[in-house]
Amino acid sequence: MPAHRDPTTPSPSADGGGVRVSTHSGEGRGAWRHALPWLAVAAIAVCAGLGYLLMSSTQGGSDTAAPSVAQVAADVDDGDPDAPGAMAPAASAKPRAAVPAGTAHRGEGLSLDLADYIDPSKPVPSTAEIIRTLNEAGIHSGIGAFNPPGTSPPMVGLAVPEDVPLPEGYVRHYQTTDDGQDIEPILMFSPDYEFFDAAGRPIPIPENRVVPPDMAPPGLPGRRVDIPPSREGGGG
Amino acid sequence: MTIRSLKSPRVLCAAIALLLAPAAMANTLNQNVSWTIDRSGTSTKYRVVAYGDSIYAGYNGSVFNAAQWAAPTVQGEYLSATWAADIETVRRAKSGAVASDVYQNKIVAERSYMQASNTRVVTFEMCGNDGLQARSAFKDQTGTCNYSGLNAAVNNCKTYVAASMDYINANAYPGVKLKIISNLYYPGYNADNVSSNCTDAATGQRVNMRTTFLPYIARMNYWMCEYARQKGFKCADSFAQYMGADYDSNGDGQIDSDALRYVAGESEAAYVNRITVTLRPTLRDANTHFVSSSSSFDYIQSDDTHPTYSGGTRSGGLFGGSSGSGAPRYTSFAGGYSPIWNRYGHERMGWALSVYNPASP
Repeated sequence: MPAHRDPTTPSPSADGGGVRVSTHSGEGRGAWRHALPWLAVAAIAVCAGLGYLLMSSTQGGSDTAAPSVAQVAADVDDGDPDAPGAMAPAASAKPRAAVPAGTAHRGEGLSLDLADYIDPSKPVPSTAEIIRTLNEAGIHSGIGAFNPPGTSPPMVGLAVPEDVPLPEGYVRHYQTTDDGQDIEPILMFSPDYEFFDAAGRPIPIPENRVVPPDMAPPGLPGRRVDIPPSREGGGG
Repeated sequence: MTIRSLKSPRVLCAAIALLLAPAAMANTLNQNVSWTIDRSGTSTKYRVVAYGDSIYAGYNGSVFNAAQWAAPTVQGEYLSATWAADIETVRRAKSGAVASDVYQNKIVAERSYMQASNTRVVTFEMCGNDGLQARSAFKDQTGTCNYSGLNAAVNNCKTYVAASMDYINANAYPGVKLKIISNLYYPGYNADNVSSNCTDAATGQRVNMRTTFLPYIARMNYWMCEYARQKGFKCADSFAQYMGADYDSNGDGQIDSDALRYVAGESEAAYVNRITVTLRPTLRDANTHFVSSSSSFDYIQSDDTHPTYSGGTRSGGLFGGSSGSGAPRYTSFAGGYSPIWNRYGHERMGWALSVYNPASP
């Protein structure tokens, strides 16, 4: 039986676990499908990581400096065909000589863009593989600071259709896949309630608050939701 | 004579590093997507320009595609209805970019997009990757905790947010009607509820990561909104929109997500105390954003970092960006709300931006 929590006391959800129960990876890629390019990128990234560490240790952290005229002078317009071409930047900007549209960035100094170093004619590793490779090379900046897709996958729980009345103390929780597909709502315990058995003893609630089948209130279909497969085959 | 085989890992690494030295810095991803909301019965077109990192990019864990309905495009749909016009949403974004990178390589380098004479809205977001990287570095620490990286992230954020606003003010098309920044939600709020490996110099104890990080993100968010107030921008408070429930969970008489919002003119200390102490019991991980006491929505993708979205994706990533157009999903918004305004992370952020939409172009 649920009992409403005193609203003036902190909700346990604020410090709750949020651990997901599914092992759905979301990447949907075979381990060997991109083995060769993966190994190549791994080799490059490991070596590049060493170079990065060396370079970053000697460059003096330009990110900490306030933007100056010299910094801003490095700007090059990417070229918007609808923009007024002769409009000069104000403030501290001092643009360099005009550069043909679309040719601006590449080859000018060190680009940070992964696209500059990927051969589009060859299979590209998944995002998770790129992140893992960067991390293994000691690089935790850029997308190397992102968690890989699947770190906290959608939770699988009991379906609670819209036309089923929701018992007090429970929550209808809606989720979406990384490629934008809606998942049928699942039943969760509300963080605003505490639950007791017939003898008045507190019932421990799963850390992720997803209602397991043996704790489900009566009247529900008792069916677990399915996570739709990825539409894109990547991105998880 | 010594013969060293190129199969030696050391030499092989050196050879690759020499040949591909620039790749050493390759860790970000340009994701530029433009989408025009093509409203029937009009050919008048205005532009929203959005600069930022993976949030405005609509990153979805793919290096090829990005969400079509990322927050600035959602905002454009609201504008299309209000102005009865086509709205071109131009998202110039770089996933993984720190604030200095967004400033220099997107806002400054790609300023021409906001200089077009049909531009009416300029929006940007940044600092999330400064925070993610500082957090990652802190988590790796052992021995005595060093907070300098976290402080540097806040200072860099302040520097480049202010510089970005100044630059946009000086360079955007003079007819721009709205300049707006979105601040940061806290991704991984639950996952960070663990102890550090390092120990605090004063207490000798390990510190709770979330308790440690929260004041830093609060300081970043305060200054994003405070600089906005000072420099003629609006501030979409994504922290409040994501982290607080849309009902009064603590009985203080306020909707949690309203109570968490930045208050114009308050001090940094007052804001940080309100977020990290007074209202902290109302903060919840955005994986379960409560729109009522009985309904919650997952605002965060499976990487526990980026916002969920509705609909499909557009090409934007390793093989270049894309542009396209299509009819709006919704042509009118009763009360200023889309039917899905609170069901996805990007829809929520886009709605938060739209609150400040001007009545006319």
